[in-house]
Amino acid sequence: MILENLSLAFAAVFEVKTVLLIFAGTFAGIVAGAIPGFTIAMAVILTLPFTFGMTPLQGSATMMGVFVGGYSGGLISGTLLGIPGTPSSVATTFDGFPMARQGKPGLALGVGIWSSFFGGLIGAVLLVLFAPPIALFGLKFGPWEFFALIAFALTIIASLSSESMLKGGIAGLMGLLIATIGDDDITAISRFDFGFDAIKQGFGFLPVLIGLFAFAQLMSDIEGGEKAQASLMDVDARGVSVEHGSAIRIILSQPVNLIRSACIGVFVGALPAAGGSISNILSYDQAKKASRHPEKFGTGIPDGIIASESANNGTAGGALITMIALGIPGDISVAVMLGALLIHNVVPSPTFISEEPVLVYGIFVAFFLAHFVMIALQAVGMRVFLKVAHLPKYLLTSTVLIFCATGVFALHNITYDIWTLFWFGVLGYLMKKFGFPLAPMILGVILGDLAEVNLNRAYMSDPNPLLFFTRPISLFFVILAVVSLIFPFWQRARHQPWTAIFLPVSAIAVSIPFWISPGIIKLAGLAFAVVGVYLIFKHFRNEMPAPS
Amino acid sequence: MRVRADTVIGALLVIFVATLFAVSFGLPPAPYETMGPALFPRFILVAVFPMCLVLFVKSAVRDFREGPAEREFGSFAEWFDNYRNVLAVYLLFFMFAWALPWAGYLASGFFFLLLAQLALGPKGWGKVPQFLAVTTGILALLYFIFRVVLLVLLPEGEIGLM
Repeated sequence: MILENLSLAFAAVFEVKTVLLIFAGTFAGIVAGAIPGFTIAMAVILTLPFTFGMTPLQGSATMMGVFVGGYSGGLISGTLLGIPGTPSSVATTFDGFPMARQGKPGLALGVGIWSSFFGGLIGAVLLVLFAPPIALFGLKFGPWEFFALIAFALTIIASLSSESMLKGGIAGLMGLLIATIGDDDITAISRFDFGFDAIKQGFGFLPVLIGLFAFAQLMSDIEGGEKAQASLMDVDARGVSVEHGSAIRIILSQPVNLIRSACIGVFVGALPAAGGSISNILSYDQAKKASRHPEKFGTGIPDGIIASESANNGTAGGALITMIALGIPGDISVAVMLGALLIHNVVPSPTFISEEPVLVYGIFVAFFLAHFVMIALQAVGMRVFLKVAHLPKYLLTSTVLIFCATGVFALHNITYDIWTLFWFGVLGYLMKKFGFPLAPMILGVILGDLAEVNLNRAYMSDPNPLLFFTRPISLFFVILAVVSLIFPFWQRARHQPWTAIFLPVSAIAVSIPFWISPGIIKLAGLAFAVVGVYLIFKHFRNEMPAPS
Repeated sequence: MRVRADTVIGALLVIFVATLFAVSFGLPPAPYETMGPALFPRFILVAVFPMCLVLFVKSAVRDFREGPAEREFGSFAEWFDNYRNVLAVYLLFFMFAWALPWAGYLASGFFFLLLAQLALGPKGWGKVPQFLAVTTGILALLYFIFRVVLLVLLPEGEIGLM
């Protein structure tokens, strides 16, 4: 069955037009990733309108190209300038930039590009292996489980808000609130329209998302008078040629670092709301801890580049697992991808793989193929990417804005969507200026409808709210949500006595849903409980005064 | 007394959330066996209210203890100089959206692109031919992609400029 679906998907993806679209998407992704401040999400947003006239597979394949290209493009400016093109390449600069300054920019770029490639392939393999069983597991989800999962996703977003957890929480909840404006999906009663007929239709999440994200980004770039006349990136790439052979040899000599980092990337990507910005730092840190020469990290060694780049491309595969199997976007760029699929009337959910096998396997194949295209384009097009990054900001800003406006208009052919874009553009910029993170609000807007529909379904099935705590999977996510809410406080106050019980209590709490589950899964509960008890025992043993 | 931005934002959010909570009681009751249109928004409002209050109180306490925050800009002229590009683009985009239904896509898009480049780009008449060329080229490309290839019915406008 899988082989049959894969062969059909191969035939569909390897049509000339689809392959060309993957090339175009990957090219756009690399260019966007290479320009500092021009994120992958922005690239996906700008590509989205082009996919309107395509078939769902062609549109998804193009998006896969942008996605893969974007994750690998960020390393170019990070390596050559020390300015990461995207947040997912921050750790690449730690060693990539020093290596480039030591006169080895070609090797630094080569190690980065090929680590992206291998990391991405590992992510793709894990995507194909894990998405179907997770979707199968997702079929057991009722509305209680979905609602609890969304609540968990939102708590992660808030707790990961680096600026302020409080502001992240407010932004996430406000995002949920924005999703409630207009006609209620179940009762068709309009809410919070304040008498404006236009608002009854609510706010389309793509205009909201593009407004919040694109405007905030572009406006920040043009602040400061004459700065708008500068280009986003200023580097002379004439002397740079990528060293492929030596880069591959170096990477393959560190298989543990490569595989560990890619797996970290996939795991972080699969968590709802976590993304490449976390995985690259986490894997860099793990590579440093596991290294025999940690003191050399940050001085320009390939180990750090391999860890960061293989992790961030692995993240793409992980994020797609959650989106395809459960319909929950991993981060903003995947959220836009989800939006793109919804425009094509494709709704990712646990039944997605069984209902649309050719499309899903086509997405997998396109994801694989995009990595090979990325390597080919990076090998021949480095100078072109850097030339595009030379464009002055004033030109990019005006062009991108009119492009966004036209794309948003094309969604429903109404100017109301352009006004939505504008007002949320103002809101997004103000939020950024006053330290409110945008990601929680964007994901709140996207998950809001899903959360309300599932809560409503749960209520209609049985109004007893205790079901959220008595159904094992739902309870599991509720406990995770509570743990993730406490986690940042635990991190900040680790010297205080109460924090010593956080990990053991969390482990014991997580064991509860397994205990109340039927079957052999109870053993997992036992394992968590044993870990919890061991941690408590270890703590008290360390606390006891040594015998005199 | 000058207060921190968070104090003002916190206060505004508290008022906003309280207002929406009050408005939610004007929504019709739940029909059939559903939980009704008001319950979910109320859940959110109840959750976000204390957070907004904490934001306000924390910032207000800082104002009281540490005094006002340092000014980012010395004068209005300095502030305006920093944000003039941003204000110009918002104003131009507002005018673009406002003009779109009656002036049409091409006319409003042309003025938006040209004026945005004039406002943000290098000063002097020497650059105008370049701006005009870029504007025409980008608009032609967008028109080709959306109108010709994707068959999107772009606004034609009432005054016949398209």
